[in-house]
Amino acid sequence: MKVFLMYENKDFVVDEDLPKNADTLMSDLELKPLLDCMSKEDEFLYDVSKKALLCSLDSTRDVIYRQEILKDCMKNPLITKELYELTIKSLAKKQERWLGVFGRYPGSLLSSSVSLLDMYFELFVEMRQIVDENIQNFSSSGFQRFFKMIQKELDDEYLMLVKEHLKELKFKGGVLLSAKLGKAYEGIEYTLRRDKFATKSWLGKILTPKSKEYSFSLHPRDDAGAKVLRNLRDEGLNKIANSLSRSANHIDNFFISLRRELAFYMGCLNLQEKLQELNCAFVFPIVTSLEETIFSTKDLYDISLALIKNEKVVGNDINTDAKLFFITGANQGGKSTFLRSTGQAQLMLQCGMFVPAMHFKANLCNGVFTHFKKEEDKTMKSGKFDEELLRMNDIVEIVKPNALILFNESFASTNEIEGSLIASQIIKALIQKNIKIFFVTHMFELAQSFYKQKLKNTIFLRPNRDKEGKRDFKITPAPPLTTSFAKDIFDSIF
Amino acid sequence: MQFSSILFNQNKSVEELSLTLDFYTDLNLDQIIDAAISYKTEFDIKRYFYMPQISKEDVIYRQDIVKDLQKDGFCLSVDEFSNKILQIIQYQDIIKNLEYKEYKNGWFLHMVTLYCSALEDFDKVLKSAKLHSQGFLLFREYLDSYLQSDDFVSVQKEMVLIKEKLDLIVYDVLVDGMTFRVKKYENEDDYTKEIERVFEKFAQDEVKAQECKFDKNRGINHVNAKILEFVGKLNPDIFLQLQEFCEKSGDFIDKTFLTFATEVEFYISYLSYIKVVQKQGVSCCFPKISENNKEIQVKDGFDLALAYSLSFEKKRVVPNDYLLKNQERIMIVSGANQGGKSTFARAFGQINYLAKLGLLVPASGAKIFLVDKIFTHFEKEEDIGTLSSKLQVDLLRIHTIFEKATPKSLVVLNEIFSSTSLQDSMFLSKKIMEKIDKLDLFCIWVTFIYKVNEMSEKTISMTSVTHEKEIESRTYKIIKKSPDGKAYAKTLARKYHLSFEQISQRIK
Repeated sequence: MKVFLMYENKDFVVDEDLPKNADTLMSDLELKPLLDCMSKEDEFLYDVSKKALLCSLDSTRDVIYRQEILKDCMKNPLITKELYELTIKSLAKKQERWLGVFGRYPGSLLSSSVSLLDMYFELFVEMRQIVDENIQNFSSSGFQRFFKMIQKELDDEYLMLVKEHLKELKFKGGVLLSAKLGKAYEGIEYTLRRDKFATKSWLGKILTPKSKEYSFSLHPRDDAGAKVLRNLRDEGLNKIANSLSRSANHIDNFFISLRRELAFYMGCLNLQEKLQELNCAFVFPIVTSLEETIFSTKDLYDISLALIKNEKVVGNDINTDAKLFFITGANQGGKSTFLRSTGQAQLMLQCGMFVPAMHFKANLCNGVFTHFKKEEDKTMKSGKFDEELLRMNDIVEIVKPNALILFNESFASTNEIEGSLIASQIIKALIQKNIKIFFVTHMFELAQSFYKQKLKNTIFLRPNRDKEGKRDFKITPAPPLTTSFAKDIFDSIF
Repeated sequence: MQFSSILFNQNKSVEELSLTLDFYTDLNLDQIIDAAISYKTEFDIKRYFYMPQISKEDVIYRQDIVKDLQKDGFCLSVDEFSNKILQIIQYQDIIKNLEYKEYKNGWFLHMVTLYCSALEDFDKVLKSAKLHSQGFLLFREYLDSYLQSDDFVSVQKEMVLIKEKLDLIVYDVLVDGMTFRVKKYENEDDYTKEIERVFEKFAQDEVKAQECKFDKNRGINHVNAKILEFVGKLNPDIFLQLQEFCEKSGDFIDKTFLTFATEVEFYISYLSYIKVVQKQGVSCCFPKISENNKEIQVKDGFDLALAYSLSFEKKRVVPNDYLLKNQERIMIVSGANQGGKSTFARAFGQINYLAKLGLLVPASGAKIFLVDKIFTHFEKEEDIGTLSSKLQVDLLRIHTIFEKATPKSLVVLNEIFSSTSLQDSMFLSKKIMEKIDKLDLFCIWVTFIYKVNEMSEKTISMTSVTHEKEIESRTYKIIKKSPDGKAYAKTLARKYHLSFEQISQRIK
């Protein structure tokens, strides 16, 4: 029984196996406020959301699979929560009843496994009921498959059969073992047998002729003898106890993965609620393949900024099939915000979420990378420029064709000519590998050199600026300018 | 037909020497012996290492056996046989002390099974091995005729028959609280498998391996005895047949094999020990023994105890060659401190003793005279007491040595009289030398007094030399050479980067 609500045919695993640049992405793209909102301070939801957000899907099919499921959840938030609660309940009850395998004897392992299975099957009955009542309200292929599986695998007949076995597994009439004589008359090959006699009705019991048997009862105070019998019983029960504890463990894993896979959608529901409250737009993005380059947005905004400020923030409208984006222009003109919103939206798109925009269409990218200027880093032993190149080296080591790289004031810690030269070499090499690049820079030399070349697939953007020097933080296409308007800011402060 | 012993040719009795004799500790033979027997602690073999042979013939009896044991795989098979026999000895004890007699027959049958298969397996091994030693050939003959005897054949036949019948018995035990019931098995289903099928659908690819602990229902106790009694009642015919079998064949086991199993481990333990050393690329050999020609020739001799401990650091000892020919009987060893002189003396003593045990000796080639006794006198640093009393004790001990020594003996002297004045020790050394010379015995004498070699016509002089490249190694080469006081000083200077060349280079 597989959950498969995150992937069509794969389990969703939450582990430490994140992209190598995960920490960099977290800080450069300011992802924490987003994850905080999704998790509502629930550590588990946080970890699940983080894993999902940072580990992008790699096909449009997978993205759409999740989008459809998320749409179902948004349509049926209460049922989704009910299912999620069921998994929480299984967790809590397990902690109540389960003492673990280590250091246990088969007899006690058996009884606690049976008790655990009793509990799981009660939850299964509940789950069956929820599924039976709501299956028609869910249209995604993911939920349809999941619900139908529950109905098929946990049908009434099966639930009844398990109930009977769980009763028999309490071994009220004793434990029946078969054995052979091994070397030196030692009993070997102890095998648990299903007592034909015990499972018969009372009438059957009377009618079955009893075969010849010898019986012996120990003296009530014969502790040593009792221990031998207990060991004998344990040896007979060992295999089945381990098998049942394994089964209990498997069913536990089923609930755990259901919880894990629903958790992501719970996070999305939390975010949806907040955005609705702030009256911020969100939309399911249109996703195209790696090759079909497109970047089309309406009101794409920095979601973390909105969540921190707790209000609606300005978005941008861009529509292009460019692969190389140069963003130049005024300080505090919203360049970094735009860059971040691009990265966030790309990650959200690639994990099947809705995105912070009124409209968003983009192609999949093979990984998202950031190379942001680090101003505060004073602990570096090597020079600043060395450090920048070192980080670039790290990226090049792991980056693949068709990736997305966001540069923020990179390679500017040396003189502009040297910086431009190096940056342009790097950019040219990356473009050849079909890598999508957003490059925010002050370096006029750099932007200008690309502008003069009039390359295809290149777009130059600049924050809007009216004649009085006031800005509305909107980014619009415009050729690079020599001045960065530092004067404006200087003036506004002094 | 009889077989006497794999250790003692014609079952000759040999004196067991006292473990406290000086030469065992002085030559580090005790270390060698203890390490060797540590490979076979389950066998009582220590005493055999303290029983040196007296005649050349007896030494060769053993050497031939060891040569057979050196063949690939054969030694392993012999060891395996010994261990099986050891187990049978243990079973005899168990059966004797069984508290519940219900088990007795089962254990006996089991023991007989092991015994028969051990002997048959070993017979095959012996027949396929190319054996040359008198010892193994005689043993093989004995075993072969034993296996063909009517007694053995009929017992084995019946044992097989009974086992087949016992194997067919399947019984049921129903455990219910303090009560248990035993009956014949009636094809009830395996419940574990049934349950596994029920929960199969939840199975996952990766299954955490988890097993809970429990004490297996093994061993002998009143409950198991009772169950066994019931099984017997359910299958009376076969149990009766076994009972009769046991009564018939009570004294079936032949003690010859028990003795053989222990004795042969003497060789195997030593071979295991020496293998560790051989892995480091140093070789051991069978010495050529002479009982009348007093010539000694050793190639690549080394201290076995040192080589063994060095092998754990993956280091090798430095071996030495030496030759005593014609009238030469006495090796005077002198030279630098820590130059390996004591090691050299020990190595020579070890070769002589191990040769008397009929074992491989630590040298790549050796021709030796079969000495009758070995004496050692090593300076003991930890001796506390006034000089005069120490000297007195020393002299007393040396006196005892020369009382017991014969012209066929070996005496190893290590730095005696070092605490006396040079003049006194020269005097004493001269006196001792006279005794040695007169007795015409073998002596190796480690001393700082280089003039000792001039005190007799029978001496050769050996000196430790240190090669500059080997400055850091712990063992040094000893060569036949007159004593030279300068060599050591040069080496020491180099070690502290103060040689002429070094100082010239460092001062710029």
